Formats: sequence, C-alpha cells, structure tokens
Amino acid sequence: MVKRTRKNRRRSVFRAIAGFFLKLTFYAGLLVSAVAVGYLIYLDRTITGTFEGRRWSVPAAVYAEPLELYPGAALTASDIVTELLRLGYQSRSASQPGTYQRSTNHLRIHLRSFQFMERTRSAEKIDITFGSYRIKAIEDSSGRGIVLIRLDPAMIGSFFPSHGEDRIVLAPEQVPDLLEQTLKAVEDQNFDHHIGFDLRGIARAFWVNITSGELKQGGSTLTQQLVKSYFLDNRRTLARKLNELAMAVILEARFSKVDLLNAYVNEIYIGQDGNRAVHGFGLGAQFFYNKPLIELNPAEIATLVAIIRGPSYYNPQRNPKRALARRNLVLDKMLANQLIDGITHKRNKNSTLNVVSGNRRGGAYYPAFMDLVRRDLGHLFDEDDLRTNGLRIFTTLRPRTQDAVESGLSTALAAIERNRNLPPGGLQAAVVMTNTQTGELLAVAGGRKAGFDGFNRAINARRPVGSLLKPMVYLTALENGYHLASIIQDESVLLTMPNSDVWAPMNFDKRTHGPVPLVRALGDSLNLATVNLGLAIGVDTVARRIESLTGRAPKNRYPSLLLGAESLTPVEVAAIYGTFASGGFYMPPKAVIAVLDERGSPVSHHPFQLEQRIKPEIAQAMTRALEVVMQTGTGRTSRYASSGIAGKTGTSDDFRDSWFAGFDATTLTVAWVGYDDNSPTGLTGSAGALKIWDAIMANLDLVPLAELSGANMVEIEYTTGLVANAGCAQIVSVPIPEGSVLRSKPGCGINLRSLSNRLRSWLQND
Amino acid sequence: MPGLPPVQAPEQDRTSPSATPGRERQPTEARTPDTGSATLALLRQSERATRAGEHSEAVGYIERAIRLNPLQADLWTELASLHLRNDDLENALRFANKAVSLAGRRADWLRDAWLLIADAKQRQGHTAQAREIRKRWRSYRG
Repeated sequence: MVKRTRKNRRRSVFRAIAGFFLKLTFYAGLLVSAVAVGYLIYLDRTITGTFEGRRWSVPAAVYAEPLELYPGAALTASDIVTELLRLGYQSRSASQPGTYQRSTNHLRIHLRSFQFMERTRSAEKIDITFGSYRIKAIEDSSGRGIVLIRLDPAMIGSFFPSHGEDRIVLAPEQVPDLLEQTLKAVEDQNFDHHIGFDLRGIARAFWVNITSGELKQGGSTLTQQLVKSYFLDNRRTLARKLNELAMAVILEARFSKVDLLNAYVNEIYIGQDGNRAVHGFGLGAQFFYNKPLIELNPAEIATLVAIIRGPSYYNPQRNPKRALARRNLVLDKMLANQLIDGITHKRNKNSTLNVVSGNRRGGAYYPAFMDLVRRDLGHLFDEDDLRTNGLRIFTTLRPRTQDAVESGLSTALAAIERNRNLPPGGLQAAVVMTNTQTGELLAVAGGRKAGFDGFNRAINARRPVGSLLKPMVYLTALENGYHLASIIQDESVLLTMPNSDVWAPMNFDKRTHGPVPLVRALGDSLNLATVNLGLAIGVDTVARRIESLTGRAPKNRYPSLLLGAESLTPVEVAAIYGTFASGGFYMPPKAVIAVLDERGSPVSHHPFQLEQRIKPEIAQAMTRALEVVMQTGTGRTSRYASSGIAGKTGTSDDFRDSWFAGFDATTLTVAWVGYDDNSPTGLTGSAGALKIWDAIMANLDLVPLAELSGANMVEIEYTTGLVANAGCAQIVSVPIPEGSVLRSKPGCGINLRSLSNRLRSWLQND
Repeated sequence: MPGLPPVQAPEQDRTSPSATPGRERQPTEARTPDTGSATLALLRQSERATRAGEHSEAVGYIERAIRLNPLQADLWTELASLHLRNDDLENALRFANKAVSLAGRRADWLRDAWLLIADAKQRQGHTAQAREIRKRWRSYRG
C-alpha cells in the first residue's frame, strides 16, 4: 500500500512536471508561431509593397524638340543622318523600325513608332530625296507625297529619384522573347516551375562552379535576385538569405510568373553613370546601345545578360575582354537551348561588343537644361510626381543647336587660353540660347563641361554685367524724349556718394570725347556719356525699367548701376535682350511645351506667352543701335559684325567677367566667361564671350536681321550725329522720330527742304 | 499672364500704319528653308482640331508652324484668332500686335492683323476704336 502510494506520488510529480513542460512547449510554440506569423506578415507587407511600388514608379521622361522634315527644309542627308545616329538608328536595309539606308541624294528611313503630344505615329517607312542643300521630296512606302513628318524626339533625360535609380519601364510585350528565354537559360533554368527557390538549381550551380571552364552560375533564382535587388543588401548572412528566400516564396505565391519576370527585367541593376544608377534592360539598352530594347540583336542581348552578373566586373567599357568572353558564353547558351540557330550564333559571336561610349549615351543628359525644365514645372508638380508618375515632358531643346553651343564654347575657350597664355581648363563659361520670337530655350550650357551635372552658371551664377546693362539706360532715354542722334556729353563725372566717397568713373580709353550722339555713346560703350545720360533721366527711372524686364529690382540704386555694377544671371540677361530681339515683346525664357501623363493624356500645356513691354518703334531703334555696336563699335571684331546682327559686349571691373549678348533674326545668345573664384581673367567682353558667340554661330545658320527702311531713316555721321551722307562722313542710318530737331553737316550737300518734308522734322544747318 | 513681372510699358495700342518704320526681307539665302507647304498643312490640322473643339491642340499646331518660321506674321495672326475664338481677348491682342510687328510692308499680313485687333477691341467694348481701325485697314492694299 505504502509502496503503491509512493509510486503514485512519484507518478503525479512526474505528470505535473511533464504537464508543465508540455504547457511550456505549447505556449512557447504558440509564441514562436505568433512571432513567425507576425514576421511573415511583416515580410509579406514589405515585399508586396515594394513590388507594387516599384512596378509603377517610373521617372518622368524628358524629350527634346523633334526634327521636322518637309520638302523645302534646309537639311542635307548628312544633317538627318547625324540626327538619326543621335537617336540610335542603324544604317541597314531600313527593313525594321530604327534603321535607315542612305544612297546618293536619297535616304530611306524606317521610323519608329512614337507617342507625340497630340497623337501616336506608327512605325513607317519614308523615302527622302534631296536637291541642293535641301529636302526635295518625301514619300511614304506607297509613293504618296508627305508634306511634313517628324523624326522621333531624342530623350534628353529623366527625373530619377534621389537615391539615383533611373529606369525605363517596359511592359511584357515590349520585351524581346529572346531576352526572357536567355535570362531563364543563364540565370534560372527552372524559373517556370519553382516556387521561389530551386534546390536543383543550387545543386547544379554548386556542381558547375566547382568544375572550371563553364559559365559560372549562381544558385539564386530570378525571384531571389529580384528581392535582393530591391533591398540592395550584399551581406552574406544566414538571416538575410532566409529573409530573401521567404520573400521570394511570398512573391511567387502572390504574383504570376509573367509579372515577376517583367519586374526583374525592369529592376535589375545594370550599370552606373556618375550618380545615376542604370536599372533594367530598357534603360540598359539605351545606355549601352542607344536604342530601344526591342531593336537589339542576339549579341547585344547576350552582352546585357552577361553584364548583370557583375555590372562593374563585366563593364563592357572598362573591361571589354571579360565582357566579351562572358557574352560569348551567353551566346553559346542561347545555341545550346536552341534559342538561336548555328548561323546566327556564328555571326553574332564574330561581332564586336559595339557599345556606345561618351557621356551622351542612353538618354543623353543635358543637366543645365534639365534645371530649367525643373524650374518651369516646379509650381505644377512636386519632385515625387516627377520621379514616380511616368510623366512625359516635351521640351524646346534643340539637340543640334545644343551641340553647336557646346562645341563652340569648348573650342573658343581653348583658343582663348592658348592665345593668352592662361592656364588650360581654368576658364569657366555659361551660354543661354533662345528663339527670339517665341522665347523658347534652344540650348543651355551651365559650364565648360556641358554634360557634367555640376554648378549651373546659366541659372545660378549671378555676376556683374558691366556694359551689358548700358542699353537699359539708352532704352529709358529713348522712352523719355531722346533719339539716336540726340547729343549727350562725354565729360568727366565727379559724384560724392552718401558715405562721402567720391565716384569718378572713366572711359575705357581714359579720355573724354565731348558731345557725341547717343548711337555712338552706346556703340563705343562710352562710360561718361552713359553716366551723364543716366543721371539726366534719373537712376531710379533706369532701375525701374530694369526691373520691368528682369522681374527683379536692381540691388544697386547708386549711379554705378548705370555702368552695370549690378549682378545678373545669364538667363536674366536673356530676358532683357530677348525683349529687344523680339521687337519689344517680353517673353520669359521657357523650356517646356507640354506634359503628358503615363497614359498619354495631356496634363499641362505651356503655350507661348508674350507681352509688349517696349513700344515697337523704340524696340526697333534699340535693335538698330545694337546693330551699330556690332558694325562700328565694340562688337566690330566679330567675324559676323556686318552680317545683320545686333549685340553688346560687357566687362566687369578688373576684367573679372566677360559678357556678350547678341542676336540675329531668330536666335538670341547670351555668353559669360570668367573664373569661378572671381579672379580677373584679363578678358574684355569682345576678347572673351564674343569669341564664344562667334564659334557657336560658325556651326549654325545665321538669319540676318531685316534691314530697316522707311521714311524716318536718316543717315548721320557716327562721330557727331550730324545729318550727312557716305560721300562726306562715316555714316550710320538710324530711325528718327517725327518732330525731332536735327543738324546737318556742312559740305555734304544735304537737301534740307526735302529731308524736312520727309521727316516732318526741324532741320537746321550746323 | 501669371508669374510675369509687373508691366511698365503700356500695351501696344497703335492705330496708325505709319507709326513704325517697316522692315523689309533680305534676299533668300541658300540655307533659308521654304516652309510654305509644311506650315499650310499645320494650319489645316489646327482648323480640324478647332472644329473638333480641341483648343489646346489647335494652338499646338500653330505653335509648331511658328517654330518652323517664327518670322511669318500671318501665323501669329492665326494664333491670335484662336485666342479670340476662345474669348481670350488679351492674348488675341498680344499675338495680333506681334503679327503687326513682324508684317513689315506686307499689306495682306498687316490688314489681317489689324482687322483682328479691331474685332478684339470691339469685343472689349471699344467700339469707336474698332471702327476707326477697320476704316483705316479694311481696304488697305499697301
């Protein structure tokens, strides 16, 4: 009995202990399960959210102005081929979109389809014949004449997120089947069947990797690689591996194989371009081959597939041998999997890597212009809209003009440094070019290295403009009763400033010139005459007028403002001169034409804006005066001085800033040259910035300003302002308002009566 | 026009043909494009868009034509007329004045631009001014 009781007691203790542990295990299990489930939910949310987010996160694409083709266009076959090459068209039989064929006086282009602002143009073949320096006729494939057609616009950039990932997102149907099959063959043979991970794949990779000479394989499935790519974590820890695996399984459970492969194609990291990370095969194709993915041949597809295993290690630009060797292994794999036939394999294996180089590949970047696009859109879209909403932005940039600006700028700066023994590469410059009639920005260079995304001097460098501001004094004078033959005094000025400093400006040649007509005072950029004129009108009046054309009140309200002791940016200068160049119409320089959403519907239009801010007759007189500056005055060293252009040079104190602003009938250019640290360059406006303008215009077609004519045009002597003729003086022809008092030069035989009648002016013998 | 600095010079308001000296065209250069048929095609597309009630698109076509030849005054008159049709009198006047400034001595371009200015003035209620402009320009032949 006692024995039994003891036994029972022992059993119940044992039972209690066992029960306790059972309960403990149960609750611990419950807790672990709860944590595991919670963690899985967390993983599910994280990976699904990331997947969905990335799928639709498309940076805005920015396009340049497309080249317009029409019979009569002043374009040669070479001009168009240059543009086609920029767009990545291949010289072939024009058998598929993105190709062209050139023969004597003839060009056949197979245009790609493109969604323009107002409609989508399907891919189509066109034939262009050329006459002398122009297009003679354009026909479609059935021989019908075409009056107007555009090339596709160049993509000039995108607004990728601050972490630097840029991509072009492609739909599954835009991805070549060969790429998808090759990816599976090389990276994940069991992709169609596994559930996120692949034990056989791991075993195979292990086996292949220990036997040399074969294509190295990783054990990760495409899905695991996709997960890895999302979180950019290269730590080789067990926890990370398990996380990656769990997320891959979740993705497989939630999404179709088609979606997963498409996400992979759009996501995978493929190269680096400065601070911009190139992701996905769509942008990869543009970046390495400057054409859409769909146009790549097997060798090019193989190269991209080769690169993704190690974008730096297999970088075809830096490590071409390695990249070529791996590309060939990928081509072998294509053949082994019967994705290509033997002939294609041989032909492609014999081809070179052929990747494009330079900083203009794959969505060429024009950072200075992109800053202006951002400025134009800043009040409509926030950065997030630009980075993720797949907007398509059509802009005014003309790549051909931009090329001319960049090459002109770099040639001229090198020549200036060479000729003046300045340290090579030290000078900086900025250029802004606009259409004089529409105000649209055609080209912008923010510095010497135009493709480099650095300090944008075109918008941000506010530098003293010197004589570039003088025309504002003359404009204000013309609006206050003066005309171009009015006489002003180029005499010494001595002013005591409020702080008791004495201001005594001098002319550049340190001399005074006595009474001079307005046109000469501006032409020769006479400081003393300008100050005397400005003081007579009032510094405040001039300051207000400057504000009316720049939108910004000058900081300097002292008389030195009259000589340009005021800092402006090149874009602000463009606003002033643009108003002269357009015949008095103020147009804020603009970069954007329209914005479409990802479905192609218009989101915003940016139509022409203009407003008359200078009376037409005054604007014409200003343009005429600025023409005289080029013909006779400080701009006369330009090789285009007498080609019907107008402009003005500017030099700041101690030659720290060299400026030029000039225009023909259709384009206005503002150029600045100087050092970033503000040290003197020794360059006047005409020795620096004007040389840049000359070099740029050498690459462009100059459209001369129309010659002024009409009853009120009067020939006057440049030095004295007296009415004269070519037989007795150095004359310039200037518009004179009705009722003005003029004097004639003795001995010139001027018929006073007839001139008085024509001008309805008072004419006197001198 | 939002975002623009305040205006100082008054809106151009000329009614006299002799107020400005004209600019005459230079002889055609070898590299000067002949945009005639291309701009005509764009004008037709603009008309079609207008008929379909697509104002922005119609403006887009005219602007494209102006980019091809920004100095051709009658294209600016077309732009002005689109704005007039859209009851945007201010822009209609601005673009018509732009056309006048580019028309030089082309009688037809000057006349069309001025008659459009007259229409816009009339719609603004400046009947007398509109009448005076029409009287001067309706039968103007240069």
